[in-house]
Amino acid sequence: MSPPFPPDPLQERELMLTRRRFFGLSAHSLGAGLGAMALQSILPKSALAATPTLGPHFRPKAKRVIYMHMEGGPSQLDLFDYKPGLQDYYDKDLPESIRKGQRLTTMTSGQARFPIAPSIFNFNKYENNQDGVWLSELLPHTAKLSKDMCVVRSMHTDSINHEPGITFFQTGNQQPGRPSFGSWMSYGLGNANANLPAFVVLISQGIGNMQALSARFWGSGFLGGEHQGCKLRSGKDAVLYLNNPAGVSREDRRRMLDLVGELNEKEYERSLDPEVRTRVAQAEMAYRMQMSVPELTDISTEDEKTLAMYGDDVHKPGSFASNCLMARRLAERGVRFIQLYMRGWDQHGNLPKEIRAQSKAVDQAQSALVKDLQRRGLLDDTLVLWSGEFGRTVYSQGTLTKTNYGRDHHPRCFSLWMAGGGVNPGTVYGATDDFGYNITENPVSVHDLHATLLHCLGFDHKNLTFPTQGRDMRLTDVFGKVIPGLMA
Amino acid sequence: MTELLLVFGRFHVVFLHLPLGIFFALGFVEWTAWRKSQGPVPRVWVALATASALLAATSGWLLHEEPGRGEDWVMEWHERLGIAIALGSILCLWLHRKGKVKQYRRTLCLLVTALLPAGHFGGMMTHGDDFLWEPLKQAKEISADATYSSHIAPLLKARCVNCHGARKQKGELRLDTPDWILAGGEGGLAIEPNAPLESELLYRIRLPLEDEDHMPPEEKRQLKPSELELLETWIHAGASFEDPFPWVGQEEQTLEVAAVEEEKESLEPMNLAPLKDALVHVQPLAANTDALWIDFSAPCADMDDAQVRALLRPVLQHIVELNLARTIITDELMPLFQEMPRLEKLDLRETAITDVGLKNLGHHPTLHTLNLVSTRVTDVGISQLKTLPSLQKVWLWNTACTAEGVTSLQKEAPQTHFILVE
Repeated sequence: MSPPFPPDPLQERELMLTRRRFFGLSAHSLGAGLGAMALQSILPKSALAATPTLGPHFRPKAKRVIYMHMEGGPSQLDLFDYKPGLQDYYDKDLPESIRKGQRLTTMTSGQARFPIAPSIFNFNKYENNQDGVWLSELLPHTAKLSKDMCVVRSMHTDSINHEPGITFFQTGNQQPGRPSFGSWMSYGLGNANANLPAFVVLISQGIGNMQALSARFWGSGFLGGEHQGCKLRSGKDAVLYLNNPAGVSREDRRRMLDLVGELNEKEYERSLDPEVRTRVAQAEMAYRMQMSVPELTDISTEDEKTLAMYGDDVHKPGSFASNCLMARRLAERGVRFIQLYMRGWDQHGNLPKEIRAQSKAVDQAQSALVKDLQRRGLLDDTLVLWSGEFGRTVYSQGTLTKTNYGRDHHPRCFSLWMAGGGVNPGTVYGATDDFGYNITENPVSVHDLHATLLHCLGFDHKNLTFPTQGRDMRLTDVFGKVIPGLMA
Repeated sequence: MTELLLVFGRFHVVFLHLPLGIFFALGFVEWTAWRKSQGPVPRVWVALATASALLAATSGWLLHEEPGRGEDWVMEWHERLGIAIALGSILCLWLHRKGKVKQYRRTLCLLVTALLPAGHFGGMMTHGDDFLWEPLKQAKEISADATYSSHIAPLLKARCVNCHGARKQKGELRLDTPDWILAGGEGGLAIEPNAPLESELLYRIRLPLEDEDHMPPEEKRQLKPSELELLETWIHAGASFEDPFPWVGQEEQTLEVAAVEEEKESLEPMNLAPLKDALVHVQPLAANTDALWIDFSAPCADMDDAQVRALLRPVLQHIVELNLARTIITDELMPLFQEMPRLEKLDLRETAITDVGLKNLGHHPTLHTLNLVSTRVTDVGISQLKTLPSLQKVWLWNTACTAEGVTSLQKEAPQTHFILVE
């Protein structure tokens, strides 16, 4: 039993002091013993953080993550999960023995019929390290990664709608407010490049129906503001107001920051509010980004052949191709967690037309990203994840014709792929039934995925914790198990 | 009240010494009295012995009632003998009171004999099965080589198999046969051959004692540093279940551990301060290790030979992974890598390194991953890497190396993977 919250603010302040000291100490012992202790006691003032980082539990296979989130929920049936048998079921009703009364969204629960819509796209078999993998004609470039990819066909999630679905994928919880995966990485591993944020977010606009992307998806929750994802803008300038105004030199800026820093430190001693230190850390980061961001975003040093690999869109700032190139440049510079969003996979209607355009926008670029990392020797310790927040239904939403159909949200099963650091290359994991509706083999929950990714990054998911609200919080809450079949 | 009973139960480990001492003393006194044809000792001594036996037996019984106490034959026999001795001591007291000296002394003799196995079983539970004879056994085991069956299996049996064996599989893990060891448990694989820092088994053992995931559990007998070292050496050597691996044995090993600990102490905060101030990323590779990953990504544009040398000098012994990509170092720095005895991964992407510098990697014993992407090295230069005994991967994209050169080198050094993607 913890004592009741003290009503006296002075007493509370004293408790805060001891608590902070305690957390600091426990971070030392949790961290890396002597090494971490040595590290944390000598952080330069410029790198003061409200929450100290921990260091990995065991030697990581992956040092960084590139997470391509396909906002909207790409259709597994038209991209990854080949169901040739469905051609015979065209326009027949989905058997009740398959649906078993499972919940639907209100967008289709009122439909009179649930007619099966087989994919109109051809699938081809590609060689991998097992007996091959079937992939859709929509992803010809991605298919070249067949020997590097681990395709998971048995993902499932708890959520049937976008907002809670993405929140669940990003934070391990459907309710908003918990720290994002990237924030956990920033907290757990810190940044290998102190001149750039540990957690960078890049957003690309899609072709079809797009859902809102809230900044809380890359929020840091209780972990402290400096672990929050830093969104780079899609336009011409990745960061606005990067240059000092006329008449202000870099030295002036430095002197100003030093003085404000001193005042902030006094304020921190008075209030013990960790956000004060977060503010100092952010101001210092911004100061360093004035130098590092122009170098990062200057792609004039890229050779023509490399740019061509990513496709013509690479010259359009904010396109998925351009963001993939940026992801490689961030990875090269040691950024820990690179979050790419591609909007527009929410194809409730006109799916064939929209998914074709949408796939074209990502296919070449994502393949180029993996290949580019590989030849530079970076794929071995970069974990690449490609996923939506859920899959799509086998039955058509709205009118089904031979050439057109739509698909509603489907959380019971969907597919994703991974590659790189620690991932079992050239494999397929899990399977679904003949209708692509339920999982028949090796289900993987979002918590399991998180636990496994954390394992690749050197963490025991049960021990990467932060104490708040009276308990040790985890990315995997109280769930999740590591899935050895996904790992090399 | 139950708490008090629990405490009373735990006092078993204190009480048990009373009957041991009193009964042996009583036995000895009665033996000398019998030799000299004297009568038995005053009853108060027998009563004291009986009381102590009852105290030990009741507390022991209560201790066993605590949840989480295991069941096995040792426990079972310890308990049976304990109860028998308590009952026997009452019989002794009764015979003494009835004046049946001969039967009293015979029963006493039996009790003292029964105390030996009872006490020994108890000791096995608290100190481990081999506690008594261990020093003798280990003295014999000093040898140049060890194998799984001679060294690892007995160690796992003594420390782990009680809970991770045929009878119990805590965490769905068994460590009693090679197949089970490889299968791992609910948290994934237990061991990663060649990679002690990545092996869950060692990670758990190295966790602080108070961590709930620490193994063996806090109250159980812990592994000695030399035993941990043995497991580490075995896994490092590939965790083979058949092939022998080099192991220098007990005495020398203890010395080596002491040396390593001394070395750890040298990793003073002072030594890392300049690195951190220069915004160089320094991170231990795992919990409870002094192996470091050092990354110069942030200040790379300003990092020349002199600066890198000055910053790394104090921590040369600890560097296992080093990223110098995009720094402005030259071939002059290359001899420094020879002074990093544990260096495994070296990233020299986009630096001015040439063939001249590669010569200085010579015979580095542990280097296994080398990134030379976007440097000016050529086929001639990389052919010097043949002599590196541990080298596994070399990345060569965007260098002056040619496909033909790499292919022919690949044939000469099949153990290394030279990667030149076009």
